[in-house]
Amino acid sequence: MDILPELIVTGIAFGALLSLVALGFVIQYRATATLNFAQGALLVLGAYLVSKLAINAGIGFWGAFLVSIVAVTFLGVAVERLLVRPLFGRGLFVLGIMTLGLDLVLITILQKAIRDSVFPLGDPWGNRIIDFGGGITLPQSRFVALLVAIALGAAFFTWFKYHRWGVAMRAAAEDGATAALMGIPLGRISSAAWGLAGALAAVAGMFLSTFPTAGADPSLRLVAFAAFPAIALGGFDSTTGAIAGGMIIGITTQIVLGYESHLSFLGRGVHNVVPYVVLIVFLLFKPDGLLGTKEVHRV
Amino acid sequence: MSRLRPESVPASRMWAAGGRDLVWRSAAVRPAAYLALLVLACLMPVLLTPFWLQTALFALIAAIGALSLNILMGSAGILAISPSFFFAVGAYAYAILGSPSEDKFGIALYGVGLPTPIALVLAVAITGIVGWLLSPLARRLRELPLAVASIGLIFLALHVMDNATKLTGGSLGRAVRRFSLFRYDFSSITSLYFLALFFLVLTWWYIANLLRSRPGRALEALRDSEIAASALGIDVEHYKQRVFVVSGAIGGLCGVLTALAFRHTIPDYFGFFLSVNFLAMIVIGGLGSPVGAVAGALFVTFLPQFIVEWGTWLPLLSTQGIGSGFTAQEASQIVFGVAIALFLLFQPRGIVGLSRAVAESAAGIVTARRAAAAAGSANATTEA
Repeated sequence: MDILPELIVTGIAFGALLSLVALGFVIQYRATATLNFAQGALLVLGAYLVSKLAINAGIGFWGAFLVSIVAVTFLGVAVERLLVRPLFGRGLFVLGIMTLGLDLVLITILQKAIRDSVFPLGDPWGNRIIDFGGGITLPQSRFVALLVAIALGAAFFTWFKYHRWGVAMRAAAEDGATAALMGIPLGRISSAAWGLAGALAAVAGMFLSTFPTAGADPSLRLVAFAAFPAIALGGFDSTTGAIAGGMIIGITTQIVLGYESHLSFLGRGVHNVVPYVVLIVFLLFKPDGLLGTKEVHRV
Repeated sequence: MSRLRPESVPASRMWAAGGRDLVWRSAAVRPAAYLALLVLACLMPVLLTPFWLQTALFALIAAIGALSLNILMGSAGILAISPSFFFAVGAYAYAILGSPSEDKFGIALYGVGLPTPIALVLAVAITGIVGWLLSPLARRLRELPLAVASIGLIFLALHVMDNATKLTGGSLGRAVRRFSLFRYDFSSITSLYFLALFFLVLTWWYIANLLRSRPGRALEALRDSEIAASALGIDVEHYKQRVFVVSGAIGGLCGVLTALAFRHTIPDYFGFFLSVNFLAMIVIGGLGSPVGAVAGALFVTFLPQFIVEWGTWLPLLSTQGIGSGFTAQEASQIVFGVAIALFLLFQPRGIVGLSRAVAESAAGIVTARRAAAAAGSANATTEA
C-alpha cells in the first residue's frame, strides 16, 4: 500500500506546528531585527511548565496550558525589555549572540530540571489515533494541533491586517522612524512582538510534546533549529513565507522519514538533515528566499 | 583602525590618545610584554600539576580555534557561526590520513597511514580547501541566511561523521595516531603542550601580520561596508574567499590538535554546542581583537575546571552530578551565558576593553593624585 498520502497528512500537521514557531521568529525579526536563538529553549520551557503544573500542581491540563502560555509570554517580554532593547541597533551579530547566551542559560536549567526523566503532559488526547480511511491515520493530538495552528494563524493574519496593533506593527517594520513620528510606540511594539512569539512557542512546544512524542524533553529545541531553514526558505521577514517554509520543511521531513528504509544508502537519521540540504541548495539559487524582501543597496 | 570607522574608536581612547596608549604601543614595550608571556607559557609545565597542564593544553588549542573564528567573524564580519565544522574536518582528515587501516569493534576502518607530519599539513590544507569550496555561500548569501546555512553545515557534518562508518568509525569514532617528528613521539602532555604552544605562536604571528597589512585593512573595510569597500577598489569577493581559506585552515589546525589531545575523535564533540562555546570565547574576549580571542579561550576553557576543582565552595552545586544541585559543567554553562549577556550590555569590547578601562582609570587616578600633589606644592610655594 502506498504510504505517501499518510506521510503528506502527517507532514502537514507537523509543518503547521513548525510554522507557528517560524511565525514567532519572523515577528521578532521584523520588530527588533533579531534572530532569536533562545526560541528552542522557550519551546521546552512551555512544555515543561504544562507537565509540571498539570501533573504536580493539580490545576488540570487546561489550567496548566494557560498558565504556561502566560508565563512564557511574560518571559518573552522580559527578555525584550532587559536584554534586547539595550542592544537595539547594535546589529544582527550582537543580538544573535545575546540570545545564544540566553539559550545556554535557559536550556542548561531546563536540562537539569528534566535530566533523564520523562515528563508526560497529562493531555486529554493520549495516544488515540484518528483513522481517515484509505490508510490515512493521524494521532488525535496532532489533529487538534493542526486545527489550533490553523485557527491561530488565521487569527494572527486578521489581527495583523486589520487591528490597530497589527497595522502599527507592520508600519514599524516598514519604516521605524516614520512610524515613531506618527505616534506609534515602537518600544511597546517590540515588547508585544516578543510576547507574541513567546506565546506561539508555548503553544507549539506543548503540542510537540504530546503523542507521538513521550513528553517534555530538551531535544525539543531541535524543532526550533528546524524552523530556521523554514524562515530562511520563506525569506526571514515574510509572515506568509514563514508558513510556506514551515509547511515545505514539515512535509519533506516526514516524507523522507517515511521512506527512510529505502534511502539507507544515505545513512541513518537522514530526515534530520533534509531541511538543511533543501535550504542550502535553495538559497544558492534564491538567496532572498521565497517571499523575502529583496535587499537593495543605495549608495 | 581604519578611517572608515570612526565610531569604532572608543571615546575613552580618543581622550587618552596621548600618553598611556602610546607607551603601550611603543616599539619597546610590546615585544617585551609578549616575550614575558611566552617565557611564562614555557614555564607552565614546571609550575602546573598534570591536571592543570592538560587544561592549559586545551586552552591553547581553543585559542587557535578562537583566532580562526575571530578573523572570520570579528575582522571580516562574516556571520558563519559554525567553527566546529572546520574543527571536525581537520580532526577527521588527520585521523584518516595519519592512521593505517585497522579493524575496530568489527568494523574495517580505512586509513591512509601517512607519516604524521605530512598528515597534519595535508589535513590543514584540506580544511583550507573546504573553506574555499564553502566561500561561494558567503559571497551569495546575506548575513542572516548565511548564519542559518552554517548551522546547517554542522548538522550535515554530524550526519556524515555518524554514517561514513568506514572512514570515521561512526558514532563510536576512531582512534588517532600520535604525532611524531624525527622519531620523537608527542605522547606526553608536556610535549603536546609545547606542540600546541608552537602552533599558537605561529598562528598568532601569521594573523597579527595579516591584520596589520593590506588584506587585514581590506577585511575591516568590507566588514564596515561592502559597498564602500568595493568603491575603494577592494575586491570583495576575492577577500571573502581568502578569509574563508585562512580561517578554515587555522580551524583545521585546531581540529588536528584537538584530535591529538583526545587521541580519539567522536562526532558528538563537534556539535552546535562547541560552536556556541567558541562564539562565547570571542565575545567574552573582545570581538575583532586577537588578544581578546586568546583571553576568551583561556577564560572559557579554565572556568569549568575551576568550578570542578573549587566548586564545592559554591552554593547550589552538587559534585556528584546527581541530586538537586547543578553539575560543574552546568554551572559553568550558566556562567558563560550570564557573562555573554553582561559583557554585551556593559563592556562590548570584552575582557580586552575591560582591562583597558581598568588600566585607564587606574592611570587616571595616579595622574589626578600627581596633579593634586603638584597643585598642593604649588600652593605651598605661593603661600610661602
